Amino acid sequence: MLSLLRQPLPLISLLFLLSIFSFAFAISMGSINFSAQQIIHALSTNQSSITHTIIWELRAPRAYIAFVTGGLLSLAGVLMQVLLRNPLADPYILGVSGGASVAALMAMSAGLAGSWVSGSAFVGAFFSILLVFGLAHGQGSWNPTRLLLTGVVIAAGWGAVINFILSISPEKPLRGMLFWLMGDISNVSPSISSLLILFLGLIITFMLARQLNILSRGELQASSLGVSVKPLRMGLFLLASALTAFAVTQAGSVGFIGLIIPHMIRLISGSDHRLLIPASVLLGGSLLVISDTLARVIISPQQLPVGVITAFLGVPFFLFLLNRSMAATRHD
Amino acid sequence: MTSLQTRQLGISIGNKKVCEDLSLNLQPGEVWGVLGRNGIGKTTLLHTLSGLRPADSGHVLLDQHDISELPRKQIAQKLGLLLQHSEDAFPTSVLESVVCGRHPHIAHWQWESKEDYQKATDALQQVQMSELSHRATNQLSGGERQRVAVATLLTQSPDIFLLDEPNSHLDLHYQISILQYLCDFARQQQRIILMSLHDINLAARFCDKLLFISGDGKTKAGDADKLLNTKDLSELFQHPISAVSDADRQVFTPA
Repeated sequence: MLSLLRQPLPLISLLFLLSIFSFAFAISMGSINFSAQQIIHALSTNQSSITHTIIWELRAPRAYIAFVTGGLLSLAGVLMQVLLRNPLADPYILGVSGGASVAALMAMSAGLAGSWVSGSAFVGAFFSILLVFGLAHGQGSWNPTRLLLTGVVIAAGWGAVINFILSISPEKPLRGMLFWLMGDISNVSPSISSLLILFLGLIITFMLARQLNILSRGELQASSLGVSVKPLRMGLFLLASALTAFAVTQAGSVGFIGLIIPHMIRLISGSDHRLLIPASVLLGGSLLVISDTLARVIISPQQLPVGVITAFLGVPFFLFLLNRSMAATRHD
Repeated sequence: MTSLQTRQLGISIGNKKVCEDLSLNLQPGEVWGVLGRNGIGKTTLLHTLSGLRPADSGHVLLDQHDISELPRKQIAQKLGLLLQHSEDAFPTSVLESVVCGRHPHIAHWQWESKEDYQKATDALQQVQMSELSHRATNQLSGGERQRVAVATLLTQSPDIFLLDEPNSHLDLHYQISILQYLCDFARQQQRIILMSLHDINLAARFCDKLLFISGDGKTKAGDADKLLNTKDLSELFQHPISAVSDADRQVFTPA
């Protein structure tokens, strides 16, 4: 069964089904559970029933945001891992989310809310991207190690600022801040721009996929096989950072997805980016929709930050895949 | 036919000179060997000749064009480089890894065709790796990795092969069989090989021409049979070397 999933078509079809299932799950579950019949009825008729309102105004937009965020983070994770040629890389490793968090927390402690917070997060994320880019670029030598170290150090710096803001902030906004840091989709209004950038990112990286395959075999090997490494790496850095900035802006720092989803797909179907990229987006999106739904129903009426659930679901699943693939290589 | 030339080429690493005013003319069908001590700059020279590193002075000309002005993809269609180290951040199968050699010949949006995979399969057969074509690259031994790298280069099928220590990690049998295949191929198909070697006897066996790099920018290039004598070799390696005559050829051994 799992060997069939090494083929592009079965894997992508299955992940499409999973995506549809995740949306159905998100729409039907909640303080009131809907049956399939009720949902179809509410979708087909255009009346303003309570079911219709709950689905169209609450659950569907939230599922949409979760899916786009999961897709953005997974794609950014794939790109960061190949850019840094490091399996431990995730979208946040170069400090994009740190910059966004500092700006968002500052906005919150100034008493701002809603789009002010996400707007500040966006500005913070881009400030951090430019900072890392400028510092790592410094002397003109631009290698993965230097970029990684610069990014990690900047991220650590942001971490200190975050802790500082948390420790001096009064009780009241503290809970909101913590939720934002753990990743939270409960108070987000859906926008089309992040979906557009996800599509744009998918198309660009899919076109570059074969070059990414070769880049993951090292800079020298890639250039000697005809890849223009410098512009490719710069483009990857900017694109991965932009994807992350959009994700963080709308949902805070949802952990785990960007690190683990690309590895899950690699364990299932190998490292070819032409399959890895679309498959990661679909799996990441679906997993975040399911996690977010669980986050709102598990101890309802109280809501959990979605980042907690992604890790709870992802860790055992990932360990299962890792174990399975290690057993497979032993039998080889 | 593709040619590779250098004009007054000067290369230095920091303030150490590898070569100065070096003018080479590599002709189709020729097999060149580069000899020199550790850290003298053989790899740096190969990287400069393949355009991966800018020359400090002078020019490298690929088909009369300055290589620093050619796009990477166009260079890779004509010139291939066997690297000293291979790395794989995310392992793939041997076949997938070898078919990457077709990259410079395929348009960006295209996928590898059946013929591309056929070329990769043929190359794996040449290096006797067919049975391992579905093995993951991180499960290979050092010698098997080296053979995969050679197969990738054969799949790329350039006119100019630059080989950085092609015999490293290879056992005695593969050292001879792979070099023999590459050199026969180059002579028959009018390709060019330039390889760095540490084994004088392999150089004597396979190379028509040699380039000695002796440090401080001093180089010596010429026909192999002229340069392969105990005096020049002892000077190059700064170690006494003696020759033993065996049937119709000489074998060099360190004293």
